[in-house]
Amino acid sequence: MSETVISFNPGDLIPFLPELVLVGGLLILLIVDLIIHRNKGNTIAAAGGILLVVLTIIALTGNEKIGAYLFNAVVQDGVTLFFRVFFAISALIAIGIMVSSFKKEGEPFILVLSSVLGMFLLAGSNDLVTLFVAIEMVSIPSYVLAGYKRKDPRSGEAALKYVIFGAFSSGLLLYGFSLLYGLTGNTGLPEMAAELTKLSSGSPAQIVGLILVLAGIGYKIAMVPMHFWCPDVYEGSPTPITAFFSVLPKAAGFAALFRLMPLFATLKPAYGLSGVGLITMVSALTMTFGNLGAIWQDSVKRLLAYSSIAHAGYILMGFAVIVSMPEGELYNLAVTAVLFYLVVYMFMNLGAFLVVDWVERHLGGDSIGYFKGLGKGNPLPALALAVFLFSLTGLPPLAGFIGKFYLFAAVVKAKMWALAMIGIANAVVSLFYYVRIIRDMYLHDPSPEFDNSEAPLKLGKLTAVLTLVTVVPTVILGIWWGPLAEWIKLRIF
Amino acid sequence: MGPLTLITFTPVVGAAIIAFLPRDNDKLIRWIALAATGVVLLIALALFPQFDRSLLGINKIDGFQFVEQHSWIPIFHINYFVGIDGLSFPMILLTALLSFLCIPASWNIKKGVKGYHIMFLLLETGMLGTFVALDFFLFYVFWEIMLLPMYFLIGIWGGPRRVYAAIKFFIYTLIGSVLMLIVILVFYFNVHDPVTGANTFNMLHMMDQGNHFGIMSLNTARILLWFGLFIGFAIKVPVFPFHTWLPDAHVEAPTAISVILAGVLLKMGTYGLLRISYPILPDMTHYLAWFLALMGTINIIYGAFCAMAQTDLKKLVAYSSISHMGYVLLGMAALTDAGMNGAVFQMFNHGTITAMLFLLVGVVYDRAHHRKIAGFGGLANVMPRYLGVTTFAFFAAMGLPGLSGFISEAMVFIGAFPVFRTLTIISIFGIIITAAYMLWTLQRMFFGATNPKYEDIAEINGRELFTLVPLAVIVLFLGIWPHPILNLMNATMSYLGQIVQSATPL
Repeated sequence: MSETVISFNPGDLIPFLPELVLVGGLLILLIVDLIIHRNKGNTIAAAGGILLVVLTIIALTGNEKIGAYLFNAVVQDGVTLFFRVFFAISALIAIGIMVSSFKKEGEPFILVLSSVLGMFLLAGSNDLVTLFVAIEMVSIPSYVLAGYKRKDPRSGEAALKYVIFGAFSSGLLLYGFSLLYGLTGNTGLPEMAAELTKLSSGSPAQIVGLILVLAGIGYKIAMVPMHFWCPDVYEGSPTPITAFFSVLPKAAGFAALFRLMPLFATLKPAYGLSGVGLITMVSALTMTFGNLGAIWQDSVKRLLAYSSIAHAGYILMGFAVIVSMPEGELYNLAVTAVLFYLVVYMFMNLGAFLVVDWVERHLGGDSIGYFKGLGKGNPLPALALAVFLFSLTGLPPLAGFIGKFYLFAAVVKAKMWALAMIGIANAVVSLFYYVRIIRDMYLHDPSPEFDNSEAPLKLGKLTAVLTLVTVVPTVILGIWWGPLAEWIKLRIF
Repeated sequence: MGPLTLITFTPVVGAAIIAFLPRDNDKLIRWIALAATGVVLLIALALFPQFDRSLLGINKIDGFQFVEQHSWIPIFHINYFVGIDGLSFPMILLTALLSFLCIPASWNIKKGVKGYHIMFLLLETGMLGTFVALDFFLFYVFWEIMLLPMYFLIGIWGGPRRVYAAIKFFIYTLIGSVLMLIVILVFYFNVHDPVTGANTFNMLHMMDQGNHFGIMSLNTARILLWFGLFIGFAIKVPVFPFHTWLPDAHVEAPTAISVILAGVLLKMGTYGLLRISYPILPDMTHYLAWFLALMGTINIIYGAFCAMAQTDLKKLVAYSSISHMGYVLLGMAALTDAGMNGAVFQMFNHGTITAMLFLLVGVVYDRAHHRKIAGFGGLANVMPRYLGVTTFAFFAAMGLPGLSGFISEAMVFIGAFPVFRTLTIISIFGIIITAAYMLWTLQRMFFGATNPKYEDIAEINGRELFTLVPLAVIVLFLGIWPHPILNLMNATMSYLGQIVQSATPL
């Protein structure tokens, strides 16, 4: 290591093009934000949107897998390529949802974009240092976003909780990293995995280190028991921001976890704990607690917060399979399942928050009561929300079913029967609370208590377009998902 | 596009047309729904003479008719694969007929006519699709597609406790289907396509025991898989003790939906057992036939006693369905020619007879707005025509000779007696209990002093007779000349019985 001559090769920056474009765009946006005074929100959002479209195009076309570069700190493989496209598209939808709420401010959009920069970096991180810096780049703008409704004390509470929990879990993560570094003397992830494999099984430092790392990342993906912040932050934050939180930083957490999986795979059964056992356990706990928590909620935002915890649990099922099998057909199936699920989850969850935000803006609240009788006066948004919720439940012929189908397929193929049974039990429980909202929309009459009436509410053009953008994939991917699966396969393997 | 695709998706086309109609044009919506279900019925009837009665079906692709097979999701080896044999064709006829009759039976639905008919047509597609699907994934998708419309049809257009009944129905059936999903995946990963060697969802490949490998060749795994499927299907039948959703759903559902629920949806359970559990796991089915017979007997007796205890007319009919589905289980457990044919014939007959019963309950409920058996009395004096039809339907449900129910029940008993002697003898008492509660109900409702409240109650009208008479004609005709339907299924069902009988656990 010490002999390595550190010489910078400008050619190394070429695969970095999307990140560089994003940085350049961000700087321009910051300046534009200072200059203009009118219509700040719309202008910045539009410019940010164009930037993201450009990024999506770059990410879609530049699909060269070149492996590690930039002093091996960053890797460009199939997963990096996938996540770049994923983050660009989901950020585009998230910004679209934000436009109606932030008309005068440009900062929220800039913050979202800078968070996205961190996500791009995270997707390709190949080194503990890059990984940590990228995670912080994702998190810090998020803390500010959570508190963006300055006059609402709940928003302030959300931001504070988010920061404190975030700082705490960063500490855990760093401590875990330091233990693992101490064991391996390296910060490069592939090298660390190789070193850890050589260790005699079950070094306590290895176990503690990995558990701490899992806890630190678990905070990002709202994994039980690191999920406590999630409902409060989701409830307190402005709804469009919640939509962003529920998908992007969470997916970033999964990207980070994916990079760390080789380290967990080195944990052989010792002290009754293997990498597979660990991930299986948190997966089962996460989906169960998420679903049980959601049943009792009256605020739809909180309900969706718990639902997003449950979905993290489902996705972790895929990770349990990944960690059990470092390569081969089963590994490919599990990776496809996880990535496919993320795409589906992105559309249905952003869609659900979109409708919730729309209801909240028009009626003034997100309690389940505001949804009473929505199906009578506003059939289209109600239908869209019903589609999203049924898809979240995992009923065919909607995309959520195919997502679950893939995950269960991986789990069944790996013969993890207990996890499969817990998974299906959870799928049934989840029906209960998703259908509660649908029941209120269609089976109940509007109630004056929540001032919802049968009179149709105004559906803006942007909201209508965004609804279509999220509903159509949710339906199409349930009937004809072959192309997406092939696309993922082509990128990754 | 073959006739089966056409028959399956015609209702969706109807629903799509209705979706674009103005929501207050009730009349046009009803007529379009009637036309869509009418086209389905016509296609089904057109297939009737073309259907080759001698082909076996079940596990041979050349035994299926009107087959269509296209690649759907190649990456997961999922095909759009449909075809019919002697097991599915009678069910198609039943579904097409009942769906068509249910549209006029829904003529008095006043609120949300548009939504109601869209949901109803989607439900019909789900039902037809389930009966024609030969790819397990496709089967599952259609199976689940039935759930959503049913939830809304009960939950929006149902009675006072509709919300509770709808969610109960939804959760029960979802538990069954997710369990089935796991079984499907296990099948998928442990069965290979004999040509390509890849995993497959093709049911016919799954039925060929030579394609099984991995845990599918372990007896413990097979028995667990069998029970996984059984629970999934038993909830639909419903087999005791999974039946508690049924009375609630029936009582709250609007008349036409009760008809579909009892007439078609319950058949899904026994159809699933026959189409999937029997040929894919024939050894376990053979091994556990006694269990099916036992469950059948319990259903017959328990359902009949529960029916006797009811004060609500619709609940009584609901429990009588549980009892009558028991005959199906008993017959199919016997695995003999008579038993297997009797079981499917009983599925068909129960579909028509119970549809009549629910329609008749609907007639009196629409007039009196309650269903308390004790609340009537002496209706014979004011509604003689209604009495006539009701007596006919009740006698059919009792299994009176000359009516179709008698033939199928007799076949079930003849088929089951040599195999399960004691259980058959116990089951025969079911007929006596059935006769008792049916006659008792008839007496309480129609005879004695006329309840003064109902002295000027309206007689059954033309629209209601239009829905009842075709069913009555079929019941009578098949009671005298069952050949047309039995002939459809005989080759297939006897063959299926042989497959299972010749299979023994490893």
